[in-house]
Amino acid sequence: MDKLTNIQNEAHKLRMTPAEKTAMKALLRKYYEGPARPISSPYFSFFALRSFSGVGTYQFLHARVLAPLAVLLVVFAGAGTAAAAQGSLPGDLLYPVKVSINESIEVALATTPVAKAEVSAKLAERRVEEAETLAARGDLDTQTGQALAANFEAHAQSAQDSADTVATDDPAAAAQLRTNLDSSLSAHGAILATLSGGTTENKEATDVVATAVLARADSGTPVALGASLAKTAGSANQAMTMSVSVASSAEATDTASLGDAAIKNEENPKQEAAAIKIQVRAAQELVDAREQFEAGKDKLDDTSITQVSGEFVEIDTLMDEGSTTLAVNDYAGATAKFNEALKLSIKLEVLLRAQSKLDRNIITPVLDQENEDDGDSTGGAHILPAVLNAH
Amino acid sequence: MEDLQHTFEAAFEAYSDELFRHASIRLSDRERAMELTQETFMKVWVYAQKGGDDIRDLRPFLYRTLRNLIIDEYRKHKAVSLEAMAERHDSDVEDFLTPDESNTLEAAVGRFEGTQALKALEQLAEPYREAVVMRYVDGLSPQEIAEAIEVSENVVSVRVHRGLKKLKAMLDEQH
Repeated sequence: MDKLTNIQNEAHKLRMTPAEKTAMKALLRKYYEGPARPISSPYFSFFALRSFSGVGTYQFLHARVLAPLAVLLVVFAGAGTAAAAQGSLPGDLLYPVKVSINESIEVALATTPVAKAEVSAKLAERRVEEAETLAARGDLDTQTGQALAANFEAHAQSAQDSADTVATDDPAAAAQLRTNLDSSLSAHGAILATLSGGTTENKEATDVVATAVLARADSGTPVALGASLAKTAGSANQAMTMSVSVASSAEATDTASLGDAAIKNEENPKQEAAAIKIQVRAAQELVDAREQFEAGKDKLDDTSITQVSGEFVEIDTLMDEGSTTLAVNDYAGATAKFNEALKLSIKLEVLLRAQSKLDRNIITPVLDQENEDDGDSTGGAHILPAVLNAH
Repeated sequence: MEDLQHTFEAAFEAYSDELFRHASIRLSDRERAMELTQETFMKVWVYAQKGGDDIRDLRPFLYRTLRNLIIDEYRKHKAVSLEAMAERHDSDVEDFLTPDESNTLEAAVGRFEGTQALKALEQLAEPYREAVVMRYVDGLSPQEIAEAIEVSENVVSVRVHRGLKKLKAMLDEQH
């Protein structure tokens, strides 16, 4: 071993960065602690997941790029002003500060496609939340509604563009970004629908925003969803490919039960890692939703509490089923379960967050509406054929 | 269970770098090397939890698991299987050489510049690349390599020797 020190020394230059190592360690710890207690580590943020997909490392560089911008902000606006502007709404004095200064900085922060997509998605959501707050007060006028819808549309489009960029390198991460935004927007669409009332102007302006949101959420109608999947199918959307493989194996063997699907093939490690990734993500979202629920529980009426608890039971069941499916090495099946749990968690979290801001009950109307529509929305049975046709 | 997790976290501190390095040289793909390193720990963890009686020493076991993942990776890219290549060569009696000759080869390869030598190593055909990486980069003894890749120590020595020979030839050619 004293020999070949030339190769040895050179090889020792190959190493993971400390950030990559820390992220991997965190993800492994999560894994060791097991699917039985998936909600136990709130400190494990999606940072680790981002690094898992190979882009998190660069986040550290941003602080350096950002520092001069932050200084500029303090000089021009003052940190206090910037902070105060953060909660402002259209029509407020500080709203332009929020949109043109604070948000420009957030955009500047994001230099990787994944970070860009996340920031754009967040800003798009923020416009919708502003519209919700104004609509609930009955203060949304036509001009503001149109401005919010246009700004929302711009951010949603740039989130979509960034996700498309991500898709070429990392289809799974892109699928994740789309799932997050779609789930959140479809919840917001449902919330806006319940807020559409009051004066004619308020109602119309709310509808303008709701229409823009639902068009982007895609899940408004099965047809639209099918079309959007057909669009993305070509970009090798991994999560969808997996759903398709579940469907096709089910078709191939008529009797296929999930447990039988433990086919040994070379794709397994990759699929397993993908399933675990979504499991962790879903667990994290579930924690967020639970925290949101606990924080605002005392303001909710009994009906809402019962309904939300029922949703949590449903998500827990999906997570358990996912874990069981994962245990028999059916990675595609597990991925589908975890994905469903993830979507429901995101929707619930959005709903609970909106409820905490608005002073009228939106939980019951939204969930009642969903249950009425529930005829065929049990995990997208109508979605899969659309995907298959697209191939 | 806590103890096992502790052991694994210690093993990660101790071995993650070398496993990653090993995978990097074998795959010439940094991202994939990182993913396989992570999967190695996950797989061994699952195995250890199910009893894992035959894990006597974690390090060779980690290498063996990583090796299987790398083989899967090669298969995906339609490379010739390691086993097939090994069978084709390892029965040659002439390859059972004395340690002296190995030492000469080591010295010969050791004279080349590190960057160049490592690059050549990344081009070396399997299963020789595996044997040379394990021996000289990972610093495993022939016995440990034998345990990790489940062949005899003799076979390991042969592969290391042949690998060095090929490596030297590649490097000489470049000069």
